Amino acid sequence: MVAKVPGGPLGISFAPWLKANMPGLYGRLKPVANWYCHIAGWRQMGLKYDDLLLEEREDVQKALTRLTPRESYDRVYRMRRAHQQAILHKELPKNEWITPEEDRRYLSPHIQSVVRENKERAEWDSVKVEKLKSKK
Amino acid sequence: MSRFLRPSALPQTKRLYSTVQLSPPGVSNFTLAVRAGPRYEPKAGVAHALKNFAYKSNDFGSALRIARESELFGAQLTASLTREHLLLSASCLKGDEQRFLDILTNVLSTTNFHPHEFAELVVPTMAAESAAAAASSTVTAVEALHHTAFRRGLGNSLYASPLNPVSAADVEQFARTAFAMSNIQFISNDVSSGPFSRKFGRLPFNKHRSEYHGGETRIAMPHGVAPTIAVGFGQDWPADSTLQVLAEVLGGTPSVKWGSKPGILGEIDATIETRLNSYSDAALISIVMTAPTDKALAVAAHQLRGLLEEGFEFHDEVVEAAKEKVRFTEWAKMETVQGQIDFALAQEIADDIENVTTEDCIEAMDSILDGLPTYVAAGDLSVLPYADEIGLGGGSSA
Repeated sequence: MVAKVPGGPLGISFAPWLKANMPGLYGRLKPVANWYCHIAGWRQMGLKYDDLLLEEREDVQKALTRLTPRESYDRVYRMRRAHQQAILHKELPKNEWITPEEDRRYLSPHIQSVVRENKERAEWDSVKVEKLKSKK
Repeated sequence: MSRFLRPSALPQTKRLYSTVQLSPPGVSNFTLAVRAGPRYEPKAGVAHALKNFAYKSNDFGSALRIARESELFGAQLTASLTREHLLLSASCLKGDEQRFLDILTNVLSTTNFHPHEFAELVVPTMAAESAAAAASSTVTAVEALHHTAFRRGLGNSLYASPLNPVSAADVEQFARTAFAMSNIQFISNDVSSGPFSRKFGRLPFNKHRSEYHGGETRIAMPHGVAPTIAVGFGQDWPADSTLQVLAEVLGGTPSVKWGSKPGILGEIDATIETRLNSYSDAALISIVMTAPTDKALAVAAHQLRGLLEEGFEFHDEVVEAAKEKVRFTEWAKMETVQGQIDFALAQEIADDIENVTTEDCIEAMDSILDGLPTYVAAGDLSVLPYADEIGLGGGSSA
């Protein structure tokens, strides 16, 4: 059963709109966003942002099956490591933190493609066919 | 809460337009034949995977769109595989040709070969087809017959095997080499075909010449599967009309249900199908015998031995009947779409059936018996005879 989250599996984000329509403001807000990502603390626990996405949904589950075996293995490894650090109430040593460059969106593109496919299926399931009248 | 339906809550609709032309009524069939059969595959099973990758997502649209659109337009898209060719066919109502021609050409030029589609859509169908083939002793025997007769190239199986895993990248790489313009032939019953209406060009990649080897293969089949014995007589040059008549002379397949079985092999108490498998540079006459039990099949195999030892007798009337049958089959081919494809891809044979004489048949039989026969037994191996036990061993030519 798909959990009720506004904005679909990836939540609501104004960033794409802001980037497209107000690039100046986007540029000024970007350092604030980067600072927020840092203090939120997932990188210190050795996680990437896409590890935090809600995965108890059919579409995300399907997207997870599309990861390469290596990506899938690394994801589980990061999660286990983060659990261990949570039990210890400790952050990882600084040299093991996930860097902003490593914090790549490895799962979101797969989720977006699953969402697109589901939407397309829903559209085809409710398609209305009209006959085009031939010209006389 | 949702007592009032908001417009945004309604399912989205898409409008699709079709030009309905009631006259002239009819159906257009067209096929793109690509030299991408298992014969040319660089790795076992890639051709089978490529066949199942047909009509998956490409730049034209997703797999779902291609499937739904062809349903709405009342058309049929099929992909099939022969040992030499991958056939992409479309049958549609007249007037829709351009749309389906676009779909077919997009399959060749812009298929995405997504790894996830391979895992989610291609592999399950491939596995099901391979499992169905492996469960049938006849299909297994015919595959093994080709493998034993031609080893590589034409000997490659039509079905992927779980023992030789294939990846989406392998398939994409094969498609890049195989989907070259000179490798594609357009076959149609009436579409104005434009730049495609031509025969195959030169092969852009190395093709190994087929070599006929012959030999014996024995395959254990699960209990309860009707056993099969397949015997093949092959050559590594293309078939001519004599060989076509010879296959009918051997015969064994009744024209009427419960009727007497025509041909020389008609005396054998088993279901017999004699076929001429004709390829661009080789030919194989296959005699496929099936019986309900292994013991009955062993008896039938010994009957075949008796016939081989006596030497086949070629009566003029049997040869004449076979010639008529060949001519009928050739003409009947033209009535079906599949037959038209076969005809278009066939080597130039069957044009001089009238000139085939009984002596020609005897000569052709002697010539194919000179080589080592191919023998495949699929069933209970403790009961089914070995090739040399029924006179098909290597010593027969001595």
